[in-house]
Amino acid sequence: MSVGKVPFIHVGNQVVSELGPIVQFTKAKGHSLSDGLDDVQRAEMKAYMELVNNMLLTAELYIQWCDEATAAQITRPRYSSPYPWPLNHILAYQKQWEVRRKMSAIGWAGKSLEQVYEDVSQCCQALSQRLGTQQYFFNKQPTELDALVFGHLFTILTTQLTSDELSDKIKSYSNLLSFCRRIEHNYFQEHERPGLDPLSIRPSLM
Amino acid sequence: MAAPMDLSCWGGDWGLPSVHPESLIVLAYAKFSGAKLTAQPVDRTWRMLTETVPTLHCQGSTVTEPAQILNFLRKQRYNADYELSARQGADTMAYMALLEEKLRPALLHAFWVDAENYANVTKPWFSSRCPFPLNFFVPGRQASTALSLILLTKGESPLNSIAEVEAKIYKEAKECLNLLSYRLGSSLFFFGNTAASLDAFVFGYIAPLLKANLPSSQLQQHLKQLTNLCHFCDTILKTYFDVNAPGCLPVFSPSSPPSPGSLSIRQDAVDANLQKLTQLVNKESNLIEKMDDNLRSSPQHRPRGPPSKPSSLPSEKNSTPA
Repeated sequence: MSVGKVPFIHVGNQVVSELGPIVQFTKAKGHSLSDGLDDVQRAEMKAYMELVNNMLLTAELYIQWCDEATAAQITRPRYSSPYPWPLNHILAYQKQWEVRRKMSAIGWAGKSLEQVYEDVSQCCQALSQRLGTQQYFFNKQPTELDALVFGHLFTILTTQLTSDELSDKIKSYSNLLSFCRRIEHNYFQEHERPGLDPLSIRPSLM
Repeated sequence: MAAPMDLSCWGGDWGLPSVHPESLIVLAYAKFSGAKLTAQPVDRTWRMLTETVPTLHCQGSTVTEPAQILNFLRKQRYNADYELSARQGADTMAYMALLEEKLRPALLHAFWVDAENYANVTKPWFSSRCPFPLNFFVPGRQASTALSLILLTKGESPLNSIAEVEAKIYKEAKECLNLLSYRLGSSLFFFGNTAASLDAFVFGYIAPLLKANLPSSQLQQHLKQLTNLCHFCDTILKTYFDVNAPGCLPVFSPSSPPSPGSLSIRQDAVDANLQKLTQLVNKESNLIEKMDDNLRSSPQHRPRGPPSKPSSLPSEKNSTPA
């Protein structure tokens, strides 16, 4: 999308986009998942959410746009598919330029693919340690952190890339894998119609 | 016998061993873990152009970036996180990400992008530490790097202006400081009674904010209200750094002669104070000139007598009718 960001919700005549503002909006309407947490736990939750944004999101962007093989075979064709020629090429290369500029500003441009996989692995290890044997990250109820982690991990596990190394890294942490399965089973499968595969409910990567 | 390690870093001022957050992080961690680092300030050398700061040199290998340097020190058996559990290690990673995402942009803005702070504190400090002709472009280059980092990571598109993201980054930074304060509570350090790498990172980021004399900083005001964080900084300074003289670098290696070095550092501190005083006087006289111009050009307050000197301006302003 060239205007605004996904995901967004449309309520009456208001449009709210991106996870942070949507969470604030629902909280203002009286629905909050993290009300039961004390200040220290809320601090921890915010910190882990930043970890996911900092490591997983950046790694996803890197792999999609800065790894030439993936960008050429998968990302650019997919990103440019809704547009006619020559808009498809222009938009795809513009997006790639934007992402690469951002990567070099934060110091990721010099990283190799192996280093990025290693960072993802460390991030998953931290998440796995934090989750431990619990059902969700905080007590028995899911919070915003669970939603964020599920979104990223599920996407990585179900998206086809040039190599399976990234999803294999996640699969090596069994508690994270069962966490994803549990959420998918509890919250998504009752709405699933027969014949529909999990790929159809994955969040947009763009 | 451990191999000698040299750290290139920016020099110190305002009661801190270094004014540069990343350098301060490494210096603090070295103190916590007992690593013997020789701090080699890049002030007044051309190395500030050729090296990224901070850089660790050890036995021919070079490591940059605070996180990489800390990893390297851990591999050399200088591990301040030895007593942390795996869960605490995971928490460390999470809080470091929080600092990087939420606090760092606002810190960069407060020191390098905010016009008043940059003109009065940051640029004079760095220009005075750069050899000619680097003082003309090194601070400016750092300022534009800071600006582009903020815009690229926090702006909606690279073409955004800084004013639109300012409110957002300061709000997030204040929230981050609040979260750190909640997490610290009333303990001495973030994980019990021993300082670990997270303490080094938090100290490195908030100490310059706390100690610098920033003329306009809502973030500094906010930080000063969080007394446990201020106490945390002061505890680390008192316990780990010998801060007897302002601008004094900690004495790490017994081989470096203390007296000539600290004498020239004290002289630098005096020079810096003199410079600040000169700036204040210049600012005052600029203000007075401006007031004088305004009064002359304003129609209601046209002077009745011959034009008076600027030094008697306050009395003339008081005597004119409201």
